[in-house]
Amino acid sequence: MKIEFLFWRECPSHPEARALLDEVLAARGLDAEVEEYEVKTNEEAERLSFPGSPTIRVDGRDVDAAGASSRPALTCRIYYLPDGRVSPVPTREQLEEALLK
Amino acid sequence: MSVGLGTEAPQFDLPGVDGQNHSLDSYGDAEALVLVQSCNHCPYVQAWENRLSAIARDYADRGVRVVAVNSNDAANYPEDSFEEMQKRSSARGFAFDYLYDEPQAVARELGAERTPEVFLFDRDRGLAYHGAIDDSRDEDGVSQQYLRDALDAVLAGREPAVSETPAIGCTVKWKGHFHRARESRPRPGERGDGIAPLASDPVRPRASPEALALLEQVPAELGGVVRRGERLRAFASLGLAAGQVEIRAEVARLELVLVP
Repeated sequence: MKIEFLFWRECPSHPEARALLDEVLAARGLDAEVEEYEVKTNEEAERLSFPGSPTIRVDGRDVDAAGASSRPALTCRIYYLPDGRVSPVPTREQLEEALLK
Repeated sequence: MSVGLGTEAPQFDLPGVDGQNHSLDSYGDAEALVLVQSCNHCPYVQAWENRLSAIARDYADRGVRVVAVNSNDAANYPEDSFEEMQKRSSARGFAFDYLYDEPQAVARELGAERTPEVFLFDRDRGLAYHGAIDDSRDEDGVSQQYLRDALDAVLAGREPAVSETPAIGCTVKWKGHFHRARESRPRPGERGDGIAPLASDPVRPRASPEALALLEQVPAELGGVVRRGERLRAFASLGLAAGQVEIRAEVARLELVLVP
């Protein structure tokens, strides 16, 4: 399993998202290496189809397919909670679903 | 760096999503004025905007006015354009005024760094509280109502018990802060292309006296706002052309590189 963790340093959500990802991996007993990549420029955001920070892909698939096609940008990414509220990090359920597929 | 407590509110005259212009004087009757550096696109702003509307409604009868100001660069963040502001305000039923600071002057004067970031001014328009709306972006996890507590104190003629907290959110999107690939730029120490590095050591700048003098002027020139990677435009008075200097580290660890 290949896990990519893409982030933009100016958005403060990436440490929380990374910690949540590690937590889910440990809780599920998944021994997978996480490749971190810091997106620094608009060109990189375009090239990597980076819709915002953080973006997490499992075997190339975004953990939140709905938000994956947003315009590439150096920005904080929006995730939606089941009740419709927004969050700057994905939910535990989104991560679990992506990792256990 | 943001303005300090007691600092007077900045003068402004900005278009609002209601189609009217709003100035500092137009809020002259308010017992307290809450300016919130804000925008459309940021998830932190969106997570807090209902709570900001609730505060605006709850304190309206006590003479408090809540004003959100969007200063973001709409050219690079089109979700933050004035038209999109109008749409979002209408769709979400904002209970606060929402103003567009296209010149980014208010953000610069406030030294705002994040969205959302609160600046509460008392009856005399001195800064009484600065920072976060409360202590959790998840409204179910809120235990400290910083802004409400500060408003209660200010309206009672007291100083807030907590007057400064860290604002957690997206960065203000400054114009000229468009991140471009470094490959096309000279790196510190590079020569031979007409580019003269002023300093190259990010920890202990080996800057020329002229460069060090320049560094001392940077915070004042930008109201104290200097960030890693920021391209500066306000250097006319320093004898440099706009966009000629790039900040690649914090002020205390500054390295300056002249760019074409």
